[in-house]
Amino acid sequence: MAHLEPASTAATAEAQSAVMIRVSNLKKSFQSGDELVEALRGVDLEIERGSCTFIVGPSGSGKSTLLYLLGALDEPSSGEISIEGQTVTAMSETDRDHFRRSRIGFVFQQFNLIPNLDAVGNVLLPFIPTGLNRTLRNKAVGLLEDVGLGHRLRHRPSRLSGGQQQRVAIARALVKDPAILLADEPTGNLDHKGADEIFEILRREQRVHGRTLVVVTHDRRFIREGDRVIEILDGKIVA
Amino acid sequence: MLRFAWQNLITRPTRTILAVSGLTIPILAILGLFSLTNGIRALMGNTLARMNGLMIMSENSPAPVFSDLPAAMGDEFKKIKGTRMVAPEIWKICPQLEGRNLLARAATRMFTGRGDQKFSSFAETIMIEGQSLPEHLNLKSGVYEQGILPREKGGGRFLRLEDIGQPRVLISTKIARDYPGADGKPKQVGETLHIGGKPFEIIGIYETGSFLVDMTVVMEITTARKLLGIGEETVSTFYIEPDHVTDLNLLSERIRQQIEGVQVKSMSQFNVQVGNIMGRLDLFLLLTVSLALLVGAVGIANTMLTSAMERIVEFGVMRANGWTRRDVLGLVTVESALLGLLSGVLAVLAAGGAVAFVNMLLAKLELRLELSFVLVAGSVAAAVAIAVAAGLYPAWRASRMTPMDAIRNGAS
Repeated sequence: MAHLEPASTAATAEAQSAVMIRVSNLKKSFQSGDELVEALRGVDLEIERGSCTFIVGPSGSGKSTLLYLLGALDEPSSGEISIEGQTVTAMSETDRDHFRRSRIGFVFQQFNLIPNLDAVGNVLLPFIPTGLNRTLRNKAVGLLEDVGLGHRLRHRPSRLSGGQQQRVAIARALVKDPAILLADEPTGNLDHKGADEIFEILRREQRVHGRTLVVVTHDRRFIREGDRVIEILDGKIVA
Repeated sequence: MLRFAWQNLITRPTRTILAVSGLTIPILAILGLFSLTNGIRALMGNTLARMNGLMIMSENSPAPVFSDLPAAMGDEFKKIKGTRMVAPEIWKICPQLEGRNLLARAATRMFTGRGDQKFSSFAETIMIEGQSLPEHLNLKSGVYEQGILPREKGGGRFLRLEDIGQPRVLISTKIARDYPGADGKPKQVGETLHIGGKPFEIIGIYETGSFLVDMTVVMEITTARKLLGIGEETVSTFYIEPDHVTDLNLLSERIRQQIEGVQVKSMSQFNVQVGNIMGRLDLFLLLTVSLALLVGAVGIANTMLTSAMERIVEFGVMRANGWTRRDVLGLVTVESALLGLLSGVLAVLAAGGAVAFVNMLLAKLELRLELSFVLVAGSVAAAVAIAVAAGLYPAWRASRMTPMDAIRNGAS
């Protein structure tokens, strides 16, 4: 876990600075049949601590790839990502696993809840391998109550609406007290009302708890004044 | 983790039941077959432990009833140092008893008998043993003599010298019960037993407690010769007792060195021989059942592989939430182990019921199926081990994808 400790004065300084995420010349390519697809072609950006950042762009532009790389779900072909002064791209696989468990919260478009687990079980998913205790259960229940699902604690995903499922997914992301919330089209499968509710929760987490929020979306109606908007086209930031 | 794995299994009940059945059946077969061989081994051990002497048979004969030796050979044995008593014996399969042969009786019981009677007759073969009384009456370990029932229970007496040449027999309580008199009651001392169409007076009733020994009609040797048409120059076996200072194995070795054309069996050697045969039988059974186990293992592997492939996105989400490859590997392996454990436990429960039922059917035989703790524990452990081994590849497949690949490939 060496990468997760403040290893140097510089890293400590950056951990305390306004910059939460720093990306340098990030490239990602992969083979698709005979074709080499360049999903990201040298991305540079900085995202401030506690900010709300939208990554927008057409389908296939590379925005989700960038989000997954920021969350250490995948490895770049080249370039560097550092978060709170820690170079994520230099971490071992085990350290990346620990990093995801402790610092990053994910929200997916498809909700991706575990069908065999009820709402509380899904929220506790990150901690199943390390062991569950009463404190964690209480925390999960509290989070579900916070997102308006106090009456659906024992319901499995099949008995929840899309909006409710996404709220469970948000609670699952929050149970880790993440510094960064990454959301990939979180309202893509929801109606307007449901989408509004989800964004309200995400905004609250950013505003009240100071979490850094990064959202990939097609829907620009949630963008407010003061939000950072990064537009990607063909694997490059264009605005 | 254990609870989560269990939930994953019970939320797919049909698949889980099929996979468990595939492994339960061969494990059940193992338990059944090995409980039978354990029972036979115990039965043979009980029977042979009652005898303390050497049995001399003709070379290569598998059992006393197939052995023929010159009667004069007895004098040669007497000359061997350490021999206390040489007792000639005639052993043959019993001819018609009370007008019925074994198959006819078994078939009759199959249709008219109740409960255990329906099946037990097929396991019974009555034998005749003709004993040379001057010698047998002086043996230290007279199995039948010691087994005569008390007088108050109608046991009668053992053979005496005045019975030489007389149509008198000892029978076991089992034979008395299986071949009842005209009134349907078990034969008693003083009544007549027809063997090979000839009448024999029952002078004693014995019970040794050994199923195999209690299948014998005992008579004097010249009476047996007349009944079976065996000349005086021939005997089946010699039963030899050592004197009080000579070790049985030493006497056995001396006989082997000095007499050719015979095989010398101590009862402990019989035990070892039986153990060897049962060991080979166990191996054969294991090889046979291994094929069924292999099929069961393939079923588990197929179930786990299908399950793992269906849950690729789930594994990706787990990885996204901090699960390591080892955690995913562990989850799928625990699920496999639970399938194995479930199979093993179900097989043990079914085997326990089946063994109890079969033992009830065999109530009147000494043979009992034995479901030992080692057999039970071994079977459950084997079921778990097989299931875990079968689930390793699916577990490895599930754990090797990156979170992003899992989420994207699974979703597409």
